[in-house]
Amino acid sequence: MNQALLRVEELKKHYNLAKGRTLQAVDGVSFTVRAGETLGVVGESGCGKTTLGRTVLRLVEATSGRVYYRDRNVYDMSPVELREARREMQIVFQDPYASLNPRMKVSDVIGEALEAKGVPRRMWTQEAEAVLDKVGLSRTAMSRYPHEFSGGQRQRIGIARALAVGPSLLVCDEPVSALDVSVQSHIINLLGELKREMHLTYLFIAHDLAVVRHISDRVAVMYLGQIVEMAPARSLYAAPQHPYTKALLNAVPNPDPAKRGLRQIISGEIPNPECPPPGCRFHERCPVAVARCREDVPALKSVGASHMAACHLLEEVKEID
Amino acid sequence: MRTVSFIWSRMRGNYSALVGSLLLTCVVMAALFSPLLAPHDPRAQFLERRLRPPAFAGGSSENLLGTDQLGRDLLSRIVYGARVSLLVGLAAVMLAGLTGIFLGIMSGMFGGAIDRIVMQLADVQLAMPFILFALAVMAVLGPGLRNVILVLGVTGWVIYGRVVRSETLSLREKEYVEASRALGHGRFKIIRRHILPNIMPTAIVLATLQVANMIIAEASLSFLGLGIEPDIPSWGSMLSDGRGYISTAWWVATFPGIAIMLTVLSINLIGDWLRDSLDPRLKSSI
Repeated sequence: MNQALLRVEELKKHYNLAKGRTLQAVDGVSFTVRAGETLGVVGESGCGKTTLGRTVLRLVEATSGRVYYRDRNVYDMSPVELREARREMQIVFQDPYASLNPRMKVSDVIGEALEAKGVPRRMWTQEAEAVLDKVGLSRTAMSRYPHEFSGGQRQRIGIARALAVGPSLLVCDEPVSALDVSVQSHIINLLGELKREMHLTYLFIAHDLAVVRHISDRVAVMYLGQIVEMAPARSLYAAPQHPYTKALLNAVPNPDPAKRGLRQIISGEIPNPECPPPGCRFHERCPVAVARCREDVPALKSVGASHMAACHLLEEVKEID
Repeated sequence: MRTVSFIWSRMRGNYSALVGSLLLTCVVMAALFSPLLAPHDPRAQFLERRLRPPAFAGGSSENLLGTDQLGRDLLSRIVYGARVSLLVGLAAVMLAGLTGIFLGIMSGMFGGAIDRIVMQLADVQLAMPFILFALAVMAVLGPGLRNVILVLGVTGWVIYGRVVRSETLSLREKEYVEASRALGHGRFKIIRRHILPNIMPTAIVLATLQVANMIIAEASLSFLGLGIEPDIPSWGSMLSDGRGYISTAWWVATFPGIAIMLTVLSINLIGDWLRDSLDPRLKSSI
């Protein structure tokens, strides 16, 4: 449980735009995910969550930084090694309509994964049926095309494709945000069951705080390409430290009118990531910002038991191991 | 035989595809069995029977569709002309299509220097008038059927190249392509699995549209004396022969024109059907 399956160090992805401008989609992100753990990543749209997931798998080349999977840097691997490593690191996509080739039957979609794994062709039907069964689809699905399925069923096919190669790490890139609310819970529960059954480790990216809370052991909050707070789910939701996390949690509507109280909504828009504000990136929208926040970049520091946050106004707490 | 019955079962109920394949079958039959079907030698000149009108417009039953300015039987020439026109049309489109699809995919998939070279080549070729280019090539290679096909194929790839490149660029960003990469598949497997099947419908539509252009282009080249030998009948050269007589002997240009039109129509009808039946989303309605 304590062994780090995935260790990301100072990961950066800067996109070069026209006229010498750069967009810092991910800017110096570090974290570890232990085997069997689920790390949730939340943030507004455009904060770099999706790019983070893609760069971790090297589907998008990072500008700099290191990603260790089982203590081996993904960015040092040769194409052949990377191909092998990818069987252990899979991804579930956000849009189940775009993630399945409309011209391929389900059996071919799963077959593509089985081929990558090196399963002999005569075993494909058997293996494909087994993995479809795991995600709750019947074998009659095999001969059908993606357009014959609903969004939730398509997402199950996407999950089946990822699981067919027998991965240890699954990057879930907003796997339920394109689905109906009623279907969302089915998929979330399915992912939970699969994790227990197959001893999976998740990097779970989402913008829905409730979804992340339900499934995550720890949660990282991203703002403009950086992690501003990272803590065990329970303590993050119970006692958020960073002003941005507080504001995010505040924005969640509470169904009980008596508990609503004063809702503090963050003002303004997320700044343009092409020219992030100096100092703390959140200071323009922060209700408690002081002069120092405009100049110094706050580092991610320990502010409680396994609780990290990047804010000048928080006291650093030395963790006793 | 199983394929035939499969295609047949798909075509039934789709009348335009049925009409298209019937028409095309007629043309192919005419090309294959021209010596049996043609009533006269297509090259035999009877100067005393020049410009005779077709049988139904006051002519004799000797020449059902009339004769041209050299007294050659039009029906026989049209039957024989199917050989050249069909061969040139299909072979040139095939050559252009394969070249264009290949270069377009390479350009879109690999980008960088390959992309720049291919697209520059396309631009240069587009900037050059077709006739000028064909003139230069035919002058070097000499006239003849094979060289006509070659020239038409070489000039025709650009349209495929550009369309296929832009489709490839959009397809390679699709999440299912990313999923394939995440599974560890290489570029060539991705091209075969995901890019090619999704490009085919566009390519087929382009190809069916281009067959007509190719048949006409062969006519232009033959008209300029840079195509095939003038005594070999082709619809294109018959069309340009008849051009000068259109006000006095309309049939000389009209019948080869109708032959071109029907052939192109049949290929377009089949192309539409093929495109739709390749799309699993539309299968139930076909």
